[in-house]
Amino acid sequence: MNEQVGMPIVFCKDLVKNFESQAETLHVLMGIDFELAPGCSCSIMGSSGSGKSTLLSILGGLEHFDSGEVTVGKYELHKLAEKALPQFRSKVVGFVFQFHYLLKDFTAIENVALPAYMMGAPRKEAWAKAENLLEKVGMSDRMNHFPSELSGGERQRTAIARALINDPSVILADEPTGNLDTANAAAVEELMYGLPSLSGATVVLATHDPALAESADRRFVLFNGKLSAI
Amino acid sequence: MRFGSSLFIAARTLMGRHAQAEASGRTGAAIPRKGRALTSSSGGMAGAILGIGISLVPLVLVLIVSDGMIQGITRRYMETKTYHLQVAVPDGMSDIESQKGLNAIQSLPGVKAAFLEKNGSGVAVSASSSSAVMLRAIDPAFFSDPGTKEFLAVVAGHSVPAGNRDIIIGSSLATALKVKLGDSLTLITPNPEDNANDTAGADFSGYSPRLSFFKVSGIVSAGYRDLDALWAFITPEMGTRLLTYPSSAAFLGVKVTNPYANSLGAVKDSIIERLDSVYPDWFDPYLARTWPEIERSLYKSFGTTKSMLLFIMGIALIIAAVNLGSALSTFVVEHSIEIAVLRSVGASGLALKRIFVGAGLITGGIGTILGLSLGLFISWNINYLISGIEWLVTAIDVVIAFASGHPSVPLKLLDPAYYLEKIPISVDFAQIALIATLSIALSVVASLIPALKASKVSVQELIRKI
Repeated sequence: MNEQVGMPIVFCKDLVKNFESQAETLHVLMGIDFELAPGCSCSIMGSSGSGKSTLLSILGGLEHFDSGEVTVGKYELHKLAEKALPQFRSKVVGFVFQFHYLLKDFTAIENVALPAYMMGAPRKEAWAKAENLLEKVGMSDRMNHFPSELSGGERQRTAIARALINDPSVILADEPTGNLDTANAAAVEELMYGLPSLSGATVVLATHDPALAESADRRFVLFNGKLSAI
Repeated sequence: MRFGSSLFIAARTLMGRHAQAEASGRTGAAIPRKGRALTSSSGGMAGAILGIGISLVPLVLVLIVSDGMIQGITRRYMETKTYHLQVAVPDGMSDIESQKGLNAIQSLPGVKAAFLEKNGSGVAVSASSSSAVMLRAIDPAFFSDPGTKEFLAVVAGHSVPAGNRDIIIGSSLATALKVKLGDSLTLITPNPEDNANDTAGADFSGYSPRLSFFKVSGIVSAGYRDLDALWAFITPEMGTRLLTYPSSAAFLGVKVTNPYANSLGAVKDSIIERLDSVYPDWFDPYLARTWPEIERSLYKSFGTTKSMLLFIMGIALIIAAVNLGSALSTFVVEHSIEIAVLRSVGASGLALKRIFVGAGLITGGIGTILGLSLGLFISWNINYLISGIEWLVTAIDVVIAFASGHPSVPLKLLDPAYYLEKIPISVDFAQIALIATLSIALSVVASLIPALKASKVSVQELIRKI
C-alpha cells in the first residue's frame, strides 16, 4: 500500500458498536477515537468482554459498527460496500487470532501461500513468498508439516506468516499468545513487535496481559466502552 | 480468485489429510506425523463419490447391454427375415420384370444386395404330425449373403433348396414334425385357381387345398424358436407355383451397407426414385419400407423398455446427486471455521462458491470415472459374468441334487432357443460421454445449494464462532 506521508494508517472517530438482544442492548464501544501512524505498534488492554476483539473485528472489516468513522489505509469502512470488504481484508489487513486457525488439511507453507494464491498470485510466486516468510518467522524446517504436526508456538508463527503474505498495512492480533506456554509466548511476542521493522506493517495487538502490552509503542486500555491511552 | 486455486483448496479439503483432532493441538505440544485419516465429512464425501459411481454402473450396463441386445436381436431379424429395406411388388410380376427392379437398385450407393422373395402360409404334414408354416421362396443368392450366413446356421444338410422338391425347414419345425434329413414332407397350400395342376395330381376348384410333396434336404436355425418353428424354404420356381395371390406376398428385400446409420432413409429415397422410373405404371413410394417401419411394434417395444430402464437408472443417479448435495451441506457445516478463516484472509462469497462447486465437480468427476470404468468393465465381461453365475448356481444345484436325490437342472440364463446365446456388446462412446457430462453436471448442480449456503453465512456470525 502506498500511504500518504503523515496520514494515519488507522483512524477512528466516535466509533459506536452495540449488540442488540431481546433482553437488552449491550453498549460495547461508546465513541472510540484514536489514530495510529504507519509502522508503529499498539496494544489494547482490557478485561474479557471489554470489546477488544470487537474493535479489532471492526478494524479488520469483519464486523459492522453502528456509527462513527473508521478509516484503515485508504479504505473508509463507514462508506465501504459489503462486496468491497473481501478485497479490503486481503489487501490491507492481516489477522492473527488467539487460536491459530490454520487450515488443518493444508501444510504450513500452503496455509501461508493460500491468501496470495487466492488473490490471483501465480502458484510458484505465492509459494516462494510463503517460504520466505516462514524462514523469517523461524519455520524453515517445518514448512511442509500439517498443523497437527506442529507445536502451538510453531502454529502461531505460521499464522503470523500467513497474516503477512499479502503485504498488509495493518496486522490485527487478538490475544496472539493466549494459548501458548511462557517460552512460546515470549517468542511470539518478540516476533509480533518485530513486525513493523520486518514488514513495515502497523501492529494492533489486543491482550489482557500487561507484560505483553508493555512493549508496544502506544498503549491503550479499553474500559466501559471507552478507549484511553496509557 | 482463479478457479485453479478454488479447485486446489476444494481438492485438498476433500482429501482431509489432517491426522489429529485439532483439540489436541491446543496444548501446544508437537504431534508426530501420522498417516491419513478420514474426517466424518470426508467420509461422507467418500460415500457420495461411491454413490455417484455405483449409480452409474447399472446405467452404463443397461445402455451398453440393451443396445447390444437390441442390435443382436434386430440384426438377426434383419439378416434372416425383414431385410434392411423391403419394396413390395405386384403379385404375379414376371421374373424379367422383377430382375429389372433388382438390377436398378443393386447399383445404388449404400445398397449391398437385393433379392426377390415370395412368401405365404401353408400347412406342413409329416408322417406323424402337422404344423403351420411360413413358406419362403427366395433367390439362392440370399443364402450365400454374408449376413444370412452369419445368422442362419445349418443344423443338417444344405442351406439352399437345390431342386423343386427340396425343402429346407427350421430346426424347431423339424422337431415339431418329428422329421429328419431326407424325410418326406407334404405341404398344403391354398389353391385359388380352378384347374391347378400339381404333381400330386390334385384337381381342386376355388380355394381348395393343394398338396405338394417335398424331401427335407436341410435343417437350419435362425437362433429364435419362434422363427425356427415357422420357416420352410423352397425354390423360387416352386414359390411361383405354390404361392399365389391373395394368400402370398412378393417383395424385393434389400440389404444396405449400414442399416443402423441415419443414411438408411436416404437409401430408401434413392430406391424410391429409381424404381419410380423403372416401374412408372404401378410404383408408389409407400411400397418401400425400412426395417424399423416393418417391425415397428417390436422395435418400439425394445426402445420403450430401454428408455424406461434408463429413466429408472437416471433416477438413481439423481438420488446420488442429491446425496452428494447433502454430503456437501454437512461438509460446509463442518468446515465453517475454515470458511471463516478463508473469509478473514479475503475470500469473497464468489470465491467460496467456487470452492464448493469445485468440491462438487471433483466429487462428481471421481465418482463418474469410477462408475463408468466399473460399468464398462462389467459390460465388456457380461457374458463371462453370466457364464460364471450359471456355473456357480449349477454347481450348487448339483450338490443339492446329489444330497436330496433329485435330478439337477442346469441354469441357463441365456437360452439361445428363445433369445441370445450371448449378449453382443455395443459401446456407443458418444452416449457414454453424454452420461459422464450429465453425471458431472448433476454433481455441480447439487453442489450449488451448499455453495450458496457457504457464501451466505455472514462473516460476523462465522467470526463469533472463532
